[in-house]
Amino acid sequence: MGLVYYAPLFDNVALFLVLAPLVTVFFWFFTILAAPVSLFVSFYYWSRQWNLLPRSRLRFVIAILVCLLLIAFWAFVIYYAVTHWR
Amino acid sequence: MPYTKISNGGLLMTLIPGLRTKLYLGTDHLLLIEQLILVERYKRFYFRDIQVITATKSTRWIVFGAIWGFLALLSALLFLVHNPVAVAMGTFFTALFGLAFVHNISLGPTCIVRLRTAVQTHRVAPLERIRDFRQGIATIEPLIRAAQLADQPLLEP
Repeated sequence: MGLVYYAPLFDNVALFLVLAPLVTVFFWFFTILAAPVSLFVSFYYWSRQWNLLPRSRLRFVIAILVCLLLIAFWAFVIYYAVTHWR
Repeated sequence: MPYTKISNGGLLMTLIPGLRTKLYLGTDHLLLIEQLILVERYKRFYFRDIQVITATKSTRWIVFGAIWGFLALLSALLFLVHNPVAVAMGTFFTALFGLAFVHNISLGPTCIVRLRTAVQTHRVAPLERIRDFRQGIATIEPLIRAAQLADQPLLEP
C-alpha cells in the first residue's frame, strides 16, 4: 500500500450539509432534504471515516443532533399543516 | 506510524473550520496536515531531503493586534447606548475581541516560515510564531542533522 496523500472528511461533509442552509438563512427550507441526507452520511461514515491521525467523532454527533432536531421540526410542520388543512 | 504533535496552528486556526494546518513529527519525516473544508491533505518532508528552513519576521501580529483592538474599542462604544440589548451586545463583542487581542499579543511576534527541499519551497503555517518556531526547530533540527549525517558517504582517510 502506498502513501496516503489526502482523506475526505465525511464528518465535515455531514456538518456542512446540515449547517450551510441554516447559516445562509435564505435557503433554510433546503434543510428538509439536507437533514435526512446528512443523517445518512453521519451513520454510514461513522465507522468508515478514515484519517492518518485519530479524529474525534464530535462533528458526527453534532451533525446527528442538528439533523434530528430539524427532522422533528419538519415533521411537526407537516403534521400541523395536514391536521389544520381547511 | 506514531506521530508527535509539534504545532496545531494556534487557537485562531483551530476555531476557523476547514482552514487548519498542523505539523507532526514522524520517525523520518515531518508531516504537514492541511485541511481544506472537506478534505485533509498530507504532505511529508523527509529529514534527508530538507535543505533549508527559514523564518522571516512579519508584521502580521501587529496588524491583527490593531484589528482586534480597534474592534474591541468599537464594540465598547455600545456601552454609551442606554439600552439593555446594546449593553449586552457590547459586553459580548468587547469580551470577544478583547480576548482575541490579548491572545494575539500573548503569543508574541509572527514570522513567515519556509521549508525548502530540492524540488519545492513550502510555507509551514503552524510554526509562524517566533516562539513556536524556536520550540519546533529545537526538536526538528537535531533529527535532520542526524538523518543527513547518516546519509553521507564515509570519507576514506
